[in-house]
Amino acid sequence: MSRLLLLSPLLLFLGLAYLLPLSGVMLQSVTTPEPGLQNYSAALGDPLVWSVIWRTLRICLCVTVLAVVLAYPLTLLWIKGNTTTRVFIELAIMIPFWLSVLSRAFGWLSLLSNRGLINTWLQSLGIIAEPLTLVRNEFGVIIGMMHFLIPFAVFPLASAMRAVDDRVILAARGMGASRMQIFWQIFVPMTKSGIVGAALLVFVFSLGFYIVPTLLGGGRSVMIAELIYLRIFQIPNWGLAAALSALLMVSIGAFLVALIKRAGVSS
Amino acid sequence: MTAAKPAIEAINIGKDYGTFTALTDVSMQIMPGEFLTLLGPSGSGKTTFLMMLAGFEAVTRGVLKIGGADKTHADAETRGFGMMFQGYALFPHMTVEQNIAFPLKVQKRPNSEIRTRVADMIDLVGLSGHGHKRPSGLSGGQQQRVALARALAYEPPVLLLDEPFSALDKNLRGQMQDELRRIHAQMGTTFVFVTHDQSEALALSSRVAIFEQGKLQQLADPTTVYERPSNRFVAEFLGDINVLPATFEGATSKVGEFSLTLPQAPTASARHIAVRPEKLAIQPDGSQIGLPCVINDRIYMGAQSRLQLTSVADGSPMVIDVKTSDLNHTAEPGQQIRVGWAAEDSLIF
Repeated sequence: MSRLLLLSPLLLFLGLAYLLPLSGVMLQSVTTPEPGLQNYSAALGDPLVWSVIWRTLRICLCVTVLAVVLAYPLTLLWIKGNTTTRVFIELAIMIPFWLSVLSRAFGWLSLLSNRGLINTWLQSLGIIAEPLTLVRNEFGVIIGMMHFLIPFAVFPLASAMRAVDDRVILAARGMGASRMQIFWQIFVPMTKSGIVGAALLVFVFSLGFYIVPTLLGGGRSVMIAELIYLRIFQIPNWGLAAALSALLMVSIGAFLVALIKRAGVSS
Repeated sequence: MTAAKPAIEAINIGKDYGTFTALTDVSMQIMPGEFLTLLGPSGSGKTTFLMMLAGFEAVTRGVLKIGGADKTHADAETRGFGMMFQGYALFPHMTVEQNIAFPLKVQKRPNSEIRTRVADMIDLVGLSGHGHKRPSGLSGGQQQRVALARALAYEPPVLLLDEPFSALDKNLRGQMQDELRRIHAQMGTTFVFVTHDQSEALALSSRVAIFEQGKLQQLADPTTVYERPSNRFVAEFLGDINVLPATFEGATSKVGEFSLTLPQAPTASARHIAVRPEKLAIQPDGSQIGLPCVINDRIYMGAQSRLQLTSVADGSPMVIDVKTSDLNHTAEPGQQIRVGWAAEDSLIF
C-alpha cells in the first residue's frame, strides 16, 4: 500500500496528462458527431486513408532497414574501435540528441532543397544541369527520418554486441576462420537479438513521425500522423481523426505484442 | 623421445606490456604427443605464454618455432592449433553438431566427411543424443565436452587448453580429467594445458612447467617437481611442506636437536630443510631420536589424519600426515611427541 502511495504522484500525473486526454480521444471516435462506429467504417472505407497507410508502412520499412543497416557498422566501431574512434562516434551519436527535431529537419531542407547546398554544388561543378528533386518527396522523408532514428538503433545493437564473449571470436579465429566468416557466421547471428530490438524500436517510433514528413515531404508524402493532423485542423473532423488515432495505436500495440511473443519464443 | 623433433620450441620468449614484464625469457621444447601443464598462481605468466603459443598475444622477445619453422609472428589462423577456452566459448546460436562442424566447414572439408567426423567426435566425448541441442540446453560438463570435441574435430597437432575445468565442481572436474587423459591417450595429440590447480597438474601431465612472477621456475615430470622441487616456491606451491631453519656442517645438518647426515654437502647458501608432511613419521614412545614437538590439533580426514605441531626448540609450526589407523590415543592435543624423517626426504633451500 505504501508503495502505491509513493508512486501516486506519478500515477496522478500520467492519469491527468495522458490517460484522461487519451480516453477523451477514444470517446470522441465513437461519439462525434453521433454515437456509433461510423467513424471507423469511414476511415477504413476511404481509399485515401489506405494509400496513406501503405505509404506510411513503405517509408517506415525503408527507414527501419536503412537505419539498422547503417547503425550496425557504426555501433561496431563504437564498441570495438580504438579510443579516438570511440570518442568520435560517441559524440556523433550523442550530439543529435541535443538538437531539436525541427532544426534538424530544416538543416536537411537547406542541404537537399532545389537551391540547397547539394544541388548548387553539383550544378556549379557541372555534374548536373537541372536540380535533383531531393526533398518534397519520399526520398527526403526517408533521409530525414533515418538520420533521426539511427542513434535509437545504436543502443539495442550496442548492448547485444557488448554481450558477445571475445573468447568466442578468438575460438573461431583459432580454427582458421576468416574475418568475413567470423562476422557473418558468428558475430551477426550472435547479435540477432539486438538487430530485432533495434528494428522494432525504429519501426514503432517511425510510424508516428509527424514533423519530419511534414517538412521534408512538403505535403506530397503524407504519412498517417500528418493525415490525423489534417483531419483535425484543415477539415475539422474530430471524430474521424480520433478513429484514425485509435487505429494507429491499436495496430502498433498489436504489432509489438506479436513481435515480442515471437522474440520470446525464439530466444 | 630425444630423437623426435619438438612440436613447439620456445627460445627465450618474453612478453612486455608497456614497462611491465609479464614473461621473462622462457625456453622450452614441447614434444609431440606429450601432455604438458603450465602451472602457476594467477599473474604468473602461464596464460600469457599459452596465448603467445596460440598466436593471440604478440611475442615481444625471442623465437617461437612450430614444427621446426619460425612462427614467432604468424597469425593464430595459420597455426592450426586447437584451443579450449575458460568458459567454453561455444557458438551459442549453433547446435552441438554445428559447433563441431564449424572448423571443418572453415577448412572446406567435403560434407560427407564432416558428417562422419562430427558423429565420431560426439561419440568420443560421450554426447550421443545431444547433437541437436543448443549449448544453452546443456550442463557445464556437457558444454565442456562440446568444446573439446570442437577443438579436436579437425585433428590439430596441438591442443591448447586454458583452465578449461575451472568452472566445474569437484566431482565433475575429476570426471573430465579422466576423460581428458583417455582422449589424450587415444588421439595422441600434443596437449598444452594451463591450470592453477596443482593436483590437477600432477594427475594429468607427462611434464609440468611451473611459472611464478613471469619466470619459468621448473620444468620436469610430476614426480620430480613434487619430490625434487628446484626451489622453495615450487616446493611450497605443490602441496604442503614444512620448512624448518637448520644449521649445516659439511654433510651433517641439525634441525633443533635432530641431526641428519645428508647424501651430499649442501651449498653455502642453504638455510632451511623442507619436508613434506607425509614424509614425517612419529617416533615410538620413549625414543630419544627425532625433533620434539607439541601437538596443537588433530584433524581427521578419513583414511589420513593431520596433526598440527609446534617444534619445542624454536616454535616452528609443522604439519604431519599419518594414517588414521596408525594413530594411538597419546596423539592428542597438548601431548609431546618426537618426529623424524629420512635424510633423503630432506629438501634443502
